[in-house]
Amino acid sequence: MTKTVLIVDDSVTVRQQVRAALGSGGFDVVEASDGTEGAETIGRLTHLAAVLCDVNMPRMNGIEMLEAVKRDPRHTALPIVMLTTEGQHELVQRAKAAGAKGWIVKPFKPDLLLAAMRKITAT
Amino acid sequence: MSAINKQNLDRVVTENCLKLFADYKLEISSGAPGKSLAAEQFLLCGIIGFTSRQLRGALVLATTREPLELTNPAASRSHRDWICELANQLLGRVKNQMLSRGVEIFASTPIALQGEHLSPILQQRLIAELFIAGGGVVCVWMDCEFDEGFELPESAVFEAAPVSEGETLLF
Repeated sequence: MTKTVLIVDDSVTVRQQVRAALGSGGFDVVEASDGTEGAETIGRLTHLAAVLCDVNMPRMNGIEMLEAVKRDPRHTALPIVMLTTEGQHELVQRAKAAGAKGWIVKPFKPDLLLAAMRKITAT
Repeated sequence: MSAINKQNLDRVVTENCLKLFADYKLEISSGAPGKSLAAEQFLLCGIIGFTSRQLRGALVLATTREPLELTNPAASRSHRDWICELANQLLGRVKNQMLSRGVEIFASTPIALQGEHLSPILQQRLIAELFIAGGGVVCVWMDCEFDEGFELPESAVFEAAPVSEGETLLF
């Protein structure tokens, strides 16, 4: 069965790049442009295999979205990986403590992104 | 001290600009000294303001059409989005380098300008003029003010960021 990944990023170009990278590996990709839209999409789509999420975005940032989503017991098992330009130790630790599954610093390498998503969505 | 700080910061910006474009498989090299910026037909500028406890300013990344299209494998039609994202990723790299020097930078939302013959009116010396091997121009510069008495370390004094650009850390 095809697995679906949600990419949450305010850059349409980054969303397209993620779609191209994961699409080549057989993933379906759905998109959201900020944390608010991302949280709404996660609440609406029950079949998501994983989420890739930027940190710096308008309305709701990625860390806030992660913390909000993980407070909902329905999503505790949903793997969320942060995809960002940020590298601060404190932010990485905050995301880890909130339940993030990983941290990738842009620009991402398509083959490594695909390998990471395959690993965390393997059942 | 401000001149030395600027020199150290400029070196970080230049090195990271080269690395950023290399990550997108586009080799860029330094241009001829003294070549007029105004002679180049820049298509777009991505601009991001930033602040920290010790310094504040703005980073500008200007390019012609070729580097934008050659670095965007997803072939997006949104040049505006891509120049903003490239400027954001460049400042992200600089931020991570500054962290290891004890400076935490906070960035604003990037904006884009479009126009022909765009040219900076600089407060300080232009720091970098970079040319694309395959045609086209990339130019980056940084206007920055430092607090009186602040000394930006020439190299890292703290542990580097836990994750480097392009790396994947799974928990």
